[in-house]
Amino acid sequence: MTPASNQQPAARSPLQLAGGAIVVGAIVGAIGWNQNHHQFFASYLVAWLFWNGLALGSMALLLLHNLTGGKWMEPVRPYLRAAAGLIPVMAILFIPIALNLKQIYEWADPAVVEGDAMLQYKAKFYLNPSGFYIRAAIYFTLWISLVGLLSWQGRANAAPDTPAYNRFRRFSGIGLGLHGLAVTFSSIDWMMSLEPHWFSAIYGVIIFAAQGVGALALSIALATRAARSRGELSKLQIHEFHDLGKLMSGLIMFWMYVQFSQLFIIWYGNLPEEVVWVIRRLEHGWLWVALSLLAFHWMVPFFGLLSREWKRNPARLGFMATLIVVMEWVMYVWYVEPAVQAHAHHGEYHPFFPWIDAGLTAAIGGIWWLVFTLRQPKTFAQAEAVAAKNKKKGARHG
Amino acid sequence: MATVHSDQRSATAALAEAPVLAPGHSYGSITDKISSIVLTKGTSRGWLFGLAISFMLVQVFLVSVVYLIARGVGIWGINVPVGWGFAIVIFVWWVGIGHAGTLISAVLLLLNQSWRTSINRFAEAMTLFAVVCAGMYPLLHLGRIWLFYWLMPIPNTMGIWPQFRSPLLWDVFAVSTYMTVSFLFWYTGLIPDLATLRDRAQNRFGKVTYGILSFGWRGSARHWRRFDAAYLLLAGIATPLVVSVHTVVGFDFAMSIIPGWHNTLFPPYFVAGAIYSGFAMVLTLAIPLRAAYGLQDFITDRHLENMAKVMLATSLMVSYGYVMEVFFGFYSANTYEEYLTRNRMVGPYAPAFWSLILCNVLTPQLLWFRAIRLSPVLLWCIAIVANIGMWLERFVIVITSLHRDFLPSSWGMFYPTFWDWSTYIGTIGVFFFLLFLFIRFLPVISIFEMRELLHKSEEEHHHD
Repeated sequence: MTPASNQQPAARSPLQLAGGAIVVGAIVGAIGWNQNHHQFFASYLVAWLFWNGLALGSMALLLLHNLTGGKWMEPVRPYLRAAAGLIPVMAILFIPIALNLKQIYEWADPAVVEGDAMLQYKAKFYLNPSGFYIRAAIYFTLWISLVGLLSWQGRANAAPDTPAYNRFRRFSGIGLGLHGLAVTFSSIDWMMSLEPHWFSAIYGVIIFAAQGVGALALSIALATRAARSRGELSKLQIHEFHDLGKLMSGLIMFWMYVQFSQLFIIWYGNLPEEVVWVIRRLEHGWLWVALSLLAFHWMVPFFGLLSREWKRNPARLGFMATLIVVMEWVMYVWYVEPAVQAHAHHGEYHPFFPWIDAGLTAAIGGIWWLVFTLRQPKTFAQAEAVAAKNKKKGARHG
Repeated sequence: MATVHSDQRSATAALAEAPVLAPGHSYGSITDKISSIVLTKGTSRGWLFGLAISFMLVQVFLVSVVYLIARGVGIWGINVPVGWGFAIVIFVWWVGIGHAGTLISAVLLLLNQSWRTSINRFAEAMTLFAVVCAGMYPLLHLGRIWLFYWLMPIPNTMGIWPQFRSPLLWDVFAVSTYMTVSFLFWYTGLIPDLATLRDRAQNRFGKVTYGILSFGWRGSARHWRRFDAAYLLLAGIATPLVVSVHTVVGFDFAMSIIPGWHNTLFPPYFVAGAIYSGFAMVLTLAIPLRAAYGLQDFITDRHLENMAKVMLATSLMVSYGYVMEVFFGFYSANTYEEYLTRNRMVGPYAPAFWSLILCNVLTPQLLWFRAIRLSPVLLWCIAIVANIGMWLERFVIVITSLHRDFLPSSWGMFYPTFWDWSTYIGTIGVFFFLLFLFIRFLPVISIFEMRELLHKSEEEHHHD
């Protein structure tokens, strides 16, 4: 089968899928909007954070790969590039959040701030709407410039050990450092400040790790799917999936490590201003969500991927990757919604099911997927080229 | 001729870096070169001089310890409110240095990084000696050192158990496990080389000694098969330990609710700092070592450059930790956290804080430049600065958090005494004394792994 004949039918069905997701998601979103504006925006935030996280994580992985080099990431690189390229779209989709800060964040509501000395204090130097807008503009400027850098790199296609190649390498190093800071402060602005009295210094690292996990899992899920549709794999391809599986289990272990550190230190210190985050997320039904994250965002994939067989079999590896992407969404719900619910119901517990979150995730996902697919003819061609090259190499080595 | 193409340097990343093994070597020349340091070259004057100096410092250590046991910990500068002084500062400093060994040996082995091969042996030895120095401090600071076994959960007639909820007890387990596994890993890797030394030893004493130490290794296929399995398994066991030890050390502080210590970022931040200081110490030792024994063919510029890159990356992570500490000092809107942050920057210990920023944040930025990474002298200077910086970091964390706590009426200052310094300098003596003995009596570079590296590179050369 030639790449071209493979591409046409593959490109059409994702478009239908994306269209369907947008329509269904928009209907669910409209019903949600009708019921409760506050909840609508909180749900929109969850959906947006999930897709934005996948784009940002992809960029971090690309920059990291630019630094380390190595062929093990080649099979997923086209997907990562397509996903990172979505950051400008995510910036446009950020506008509804920016225009409705008061609906989401209590610190943006002057009436709330007036009666709260601590929020007044924090508003002085950090938590205020104008600071929020300026910082958001800085983050997106940086990210869009980095997208530009990556696409420039793609066009330049510099051979290793040329001055141009080394220049991209150095830019990637600086870019990754700035990106780390931007992710940290944006996670404080967009997520931590949902509970404006609470703080945790490791929070940015947790979100950074989570974005990397999600992006790698998504790209592995797509790469394994494409590889399976192409038939038998070369030895080298299996070896590459093996390495990617190792990287994925390493990343979920890192996420678990930082998440556990935060939980453990806060629980042990048991200070009222800190422990509120833990209590809100481990009480009532949220305990089950937390346990499902422990089980399916860490335990099952981590111990499953310890097996060599699971890493080398694209179907099984793809299954684990898909599971992680799904749990990634659950994770964002778990990070955001307990705070929103506690605020909305003044600390009282009300049963909650994230159906608006799910609908809006589908809607934004539809848009995300649409742009992603439109960029894919190129992506697919690149993936095919890499696969063909590997096959040739694999045949020679085998 | 053998040119090395490691697995990692694929089409995309085949930079014209220096090879991990200089061209022109054969199995014989590798064995000769490395084993000659132990067997044939004899004792050089420089080695004797170094050993004598470090032996003198060991005596300083012994005198300090005897005086400490006779008089008690009151000879140190600790008092209320600073009850934790040099003992914990230097304990953490040494444990941090002890991190590079296992990271290089185990983690880089699992990641197929072939450049680890020539530096892993002495990095592991360095780890062991650093952990020996670190491990002495918790014992010394007990005061009644002869009751040290109370730290262990031994069922006894008094019905006394250690406090299992205390991170200090977790430390006992973390460090002793790390010590045990590091030793096993190091020794397992030594066995084939000890057999080589046995076979090449000139005198009967050497033959018998290395013979006993090599456990009857004959190099049969079965031996190698079991050896490879055991080595890989030990690497797997050692890998989580790289993270766990300094995580627990971070917990020692973070589990308390003292401002400046109770920080959720501490575990990964401490691990990054440990790797930073560990690589700094490997560079501090590797650069003079390769110059003194002419090992530039094995410890090439590529090794130095890679270690410099690891230092740069970990320095950036540590700097991230400092940024977060300061930011959350203010963002927390907690009076005590905020005061602590200010006190660190403008209080009586401000010079220590700003020196640490200079050493750990600003100086390593020089490593962005390839010319500096490739200059052994400059690299060595930066590594020394990093060692000092990491010492200052622990000093600032421990002392500034304790000396001004919640109650201004109980504030005070900490000044190290003569005995604080003499004990510290003494441990440096112990470290170098052990290291000099190691260089003289055991192969500093893994002979069999270098031969394997040569074999692999020749094989790849043929394929190409």
